[in-house]
Formats: sequence, structure tokens, C-alpha cells
Amino acid sequence: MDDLRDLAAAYVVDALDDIERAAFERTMASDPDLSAHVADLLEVSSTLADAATAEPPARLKDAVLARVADAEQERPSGLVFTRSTRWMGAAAAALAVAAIILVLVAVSGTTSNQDRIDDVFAASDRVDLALRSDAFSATFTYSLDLQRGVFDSGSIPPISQEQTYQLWLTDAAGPVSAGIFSPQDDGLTRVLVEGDVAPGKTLALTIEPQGGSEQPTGDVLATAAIS
Amino acid sequence: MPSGEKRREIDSLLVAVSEGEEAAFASLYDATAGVVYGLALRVVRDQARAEEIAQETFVQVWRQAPRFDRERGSAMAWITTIAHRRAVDLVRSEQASRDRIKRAAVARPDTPFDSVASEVEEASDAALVRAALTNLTDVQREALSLAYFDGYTYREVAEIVQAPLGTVKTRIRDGLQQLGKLMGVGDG
Repeated sequence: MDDLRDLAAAYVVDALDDIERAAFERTMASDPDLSAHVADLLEVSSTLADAATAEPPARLKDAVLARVADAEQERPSGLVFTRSTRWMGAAAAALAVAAIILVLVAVSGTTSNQDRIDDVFAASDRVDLALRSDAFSATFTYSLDLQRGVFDSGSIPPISQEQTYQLWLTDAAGPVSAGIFSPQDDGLTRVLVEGDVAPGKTLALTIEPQGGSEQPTGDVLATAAIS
Repeated sequence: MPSGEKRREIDSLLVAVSEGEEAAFASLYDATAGVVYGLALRVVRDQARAEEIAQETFVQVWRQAPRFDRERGSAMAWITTIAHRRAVDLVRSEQASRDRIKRAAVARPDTPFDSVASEVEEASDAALVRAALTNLTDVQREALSLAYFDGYTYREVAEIVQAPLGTVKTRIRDGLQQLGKLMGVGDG
């Protein structure tokens, strides 16, 4: 495809106008060979950039680092993870312990809890969110009217006896524990999440030592923003 | 393109950046800011705008690092491509095509790297690619330079150099291919 290869070369040096560029990108989207060719060409065209190397002013680095300190990164699944360096204060820590106790009861699967779980799925304002990582996909279903959600552990892999998965509801004030669980052998674990299921909160999942933690110590595996 | 070793180092830094490591990002900045800023400066020919473009580029790199697909190429190519497109879009939005073509007809630099660029060390990455560029034909180097460093579309280049559209496209394509062979990069 001679024509396309000519266009590919012009494309990688940004020598196409807006309309041609958009059209070419549409063509690329459905042509993997073309995309691969363009990727190779971009390696070449980017060597041209070196020819223009120049020392930037020191203030540029300060400006960039300052911007980045507040900037969120885009997670691969499209979810946005807000990095919060402020974790819990003492009052919130007490609440978290209470929340752990509450949810331990919920996970034990009493009949009334099953009703509470069913209510979420039946709610007219039900929202289903996916939490995905490289290793698993899970869902969080919630109802703002009920201020309640259900975390379904989906394909989360089992972890060792010394560890537990822990859910958190976080906002600008920091994370509050929303429950701990270990996936059942038959794969299905549902965790009832009650308390502050409200817009602006983010549900987060970490791995913690067995028994859970007062504040997150493990890496965040996945998040879902409640809106 | 930086040497293979430096390229791999930048790839590794980007992986760390994609995991939110700010220290790695600062190192990535140190490794790439000269190229990003220098490229922006060469294209937009204005220090304040070049700083803005460089800043936006690095913020975009930070934001999108977790979504960067290693299969699709080097981190350096990704970063410079972001910077280059921003720079080119800015010059095109700020001045009408007619005026930009007129300016080119009046004052065409002999080389793509005129007084705007600072002195570079011998055998540095910059010196390497400059040397490679001297091995292209004059018309290939001219077409590539007008497109890449001055931000002209190939249609505008055709008007400036007074050559058919197809010829200009071929010069850009062949020039890139030759450059790839000389730099040992791409499928060349």
C-alpha cells in the first residue's frame, strides 16, 4: 500500500493537516500492520528530536514537579486513583475498628444480611462498577438511596492465611475500613458495605495482614469511584 | 534517539513512573527534558511557549504513564511524539498557513539546527543524528526539516520548495527510511 506508507511517513513527522491526521488515525485503528509500521517509523522520527536538544531553565523542572504532585494518574482500566497522602486521624481510626466488627458480622452471612444484599441489587438507583486489575475483575454494586453497597469478589485469587483482603471507603479525609474478606473456594464472596456509601467516595481494595489493619498498609489493587 | 542503553533506562523509568513513583519521574525528567524542551523551542521559536509545551508534555506523561503500552514502542518515542505534536499544533494555530509559507520563502535556514539550538558535545546523541542527517540527500533533508522542525504540512512544504505533492511525500518517506538505517532504528 504505497499511498498509505507515504502518508505514514508524513504522519509520524506531523506533516498531515488536522483532517488528514484524523482520517489516517481512523485507518490505523482498523489496520494492525499499518499501526505496527507507524510505531517503527515513530522510533525513527523521534531520533530527529535529539538534534534540537537544548538546556531548559531550572524553573521548568520546579514547575513540572509541582504540577505532578497534584496530578492524578490514569489507571489502565480508566478508573482514576486519587493519591492521598493524608491518612486517618485518631477518631477515624476508632470508627474503622467499629466498621471492621460490623462487617465481620455481615460476612458471616446471616439471613438479614442476605436481605440487605438483595435490596441493593433490587434498588431502583442501583449502580454497578467494575474493578479491574491485571490479575482479576470484581464488581461493586451500590445504591445511594440505601447508602449501601455489595462488593462481589469475582475472580479475585485466593491469598495466604497470614493475609486478608480489605476494602476501604476513602475521600479527601482519608480511608475508612469497609470490610475484610478472604475469597471462598467456590469463588463467590460478597461483602456488604454499609456506612458512608456516598458520591465523592472511592472504594479501594488492598491486601493486609490477617485480621485487617486500621489504615491501609498494602498497595491499592483496584479502586472504584462512587458518583 | 539516545543509545540503546539510555533508551532502556528511560523505558525502566517510565515503568516506575506508571506505578506512581515520583522519584523515578524526576529522573525521567532529568533524562529527557533537554530533548523535550529543545524540540519545542526549535519548533515554536519562543522560550515561554516552549516551556509551556514542555510542562504540558511532562504532565501528560505522568498522567498517562499507567496506560502506556510497552508493545507499541519506546518511552522516548512516546514522549517526543507528544511534545512534537503539541509544538506543531501550537504554531499552526497561532499563524495562518499563508503567513507561515511566506515566512519560509523569505528566510529558509540552511540546516535544521540553526542558532536556536545550543552547542552539543561531540559524539552526543544530538551530534549523532546531525551527522546522520548530513547523509540524506539535500532535498530529503530539506523536506524533513521543514516538516519536523518548522512544523509545515507536506502540502505547505510542496509549496515552499515548489515540488509536486507526491515528490515531497516520497522525500519525507525516503529520508526517514534512510535516517532509520543510519541510526539503526525502526525496521530500516
